[in-house]
Amino acid sequence: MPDFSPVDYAVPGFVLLVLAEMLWARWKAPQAYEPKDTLVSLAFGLGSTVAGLLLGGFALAVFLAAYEVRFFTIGWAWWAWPVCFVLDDLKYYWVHRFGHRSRWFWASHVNHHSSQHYNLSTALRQTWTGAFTLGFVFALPLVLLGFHPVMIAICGGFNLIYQFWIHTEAIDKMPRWFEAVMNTPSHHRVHHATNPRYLDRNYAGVFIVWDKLFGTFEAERPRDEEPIRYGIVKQLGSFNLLWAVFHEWIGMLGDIWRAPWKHKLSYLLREPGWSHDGSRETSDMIRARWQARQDANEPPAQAPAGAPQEKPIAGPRRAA
Amino acid sequence: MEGQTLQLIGSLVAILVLAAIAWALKLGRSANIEDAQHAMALASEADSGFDPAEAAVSRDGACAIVADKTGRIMVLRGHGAQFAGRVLEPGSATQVETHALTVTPADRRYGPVTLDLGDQAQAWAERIDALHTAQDA
Repeated sequence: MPDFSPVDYAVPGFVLLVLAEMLWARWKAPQAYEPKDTLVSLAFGLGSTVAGLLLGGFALAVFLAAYEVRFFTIGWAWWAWPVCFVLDDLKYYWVHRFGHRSRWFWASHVNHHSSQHYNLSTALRQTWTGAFTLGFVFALPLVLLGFHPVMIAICGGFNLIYQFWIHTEAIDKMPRWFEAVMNTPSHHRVHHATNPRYLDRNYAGVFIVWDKLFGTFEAERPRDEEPIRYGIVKQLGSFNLLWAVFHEWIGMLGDIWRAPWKHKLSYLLREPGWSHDGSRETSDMIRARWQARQDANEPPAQAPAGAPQEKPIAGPRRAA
Repeated sequence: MEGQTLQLIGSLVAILVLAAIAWALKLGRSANIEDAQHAMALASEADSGFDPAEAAVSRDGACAIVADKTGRIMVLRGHGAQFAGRVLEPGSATQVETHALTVTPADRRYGPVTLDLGDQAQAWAERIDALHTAQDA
């Protein structure tokens, strides 16, 4: 059984690449970095490592117990590694999608989105509270299939390393074939955007094909036509690290406390922005309103003579 | 355990060094609001449901106040190199001293915003205070 943590070996590379991107920003885009924001992002990364050491043992214990009752024994064969990597990435897609579509999971994952900047330091803005969401349960099917928990952890480490480099504005587009299959800076900028068109899109980790398969893909428009605004719908407006870590947990628990009994569970499980009295907006509602405005402002299409007079565009796209 | 402690200390040092380099490179120009049009554009970016109708920009360009067509009011201020806005809810507090209007949104974590609005300060304070009345009515 290998004892290997790929992320540990990647950390010096992360530091050097952040430094290189800062130098790029110095000459090309000074607003791409903000020192206080960078400090918060990096502190998130460090705190996340500590939280993993303190709380990760529980998930490992569950995995090892589940492995004892596995359906098959896959072992350490060479072919198991790429299969495990792909299936782990599929698992990542779903846990990530839940991270945006259930407020319980969002309370943790929002940490990664709370920066209004999009640079390599943002990639290190990792949650401290992931253990409280039970997101690790999504990996249990892989364990029960017979993939060893350590193999899954190593594949997850490589997945995380891959996702580091896509957090940048320094790269516009990759070659077309690469953009078609892989997650890229362009696809992931969409994911971090608060523009209504882009909300809750592109959940992929490594392979963008999952979004295309499950209907959550959105291509990036030319940035000079539609500049991207990063962050969250209600920007924090604060560089306070502890507030950044816990703000959504505090908000969610407050809402559960104040809500009528029959709605309490909905504030935990339903999508961020949901409210029992309709006083807030979910990403679906924001996008639908934006789409309605777009449709209203759009000049009617000139139909060719003899063509049926039908509206060529369907109603607002549903969010995933 | 000793190795992990060393790793954590090393990471902490690397973080501080990187943040210091970002400062030294003068990254992150502080954000300024140019005029009322700019403020209104920022307000609709901050909340796509906010339809700005008028705005007043603090004379130092650091913050602004914007009203929409339905009477909602948003405060905007620079947040590092970006901007952050809050639609004011009942419970937001105002204080006027000469030409300076200080608004403390009900969302206290956003923090107070002091706008130098000249002789418009009192009028904006009254509009914000009227949000309570609208809620109570």
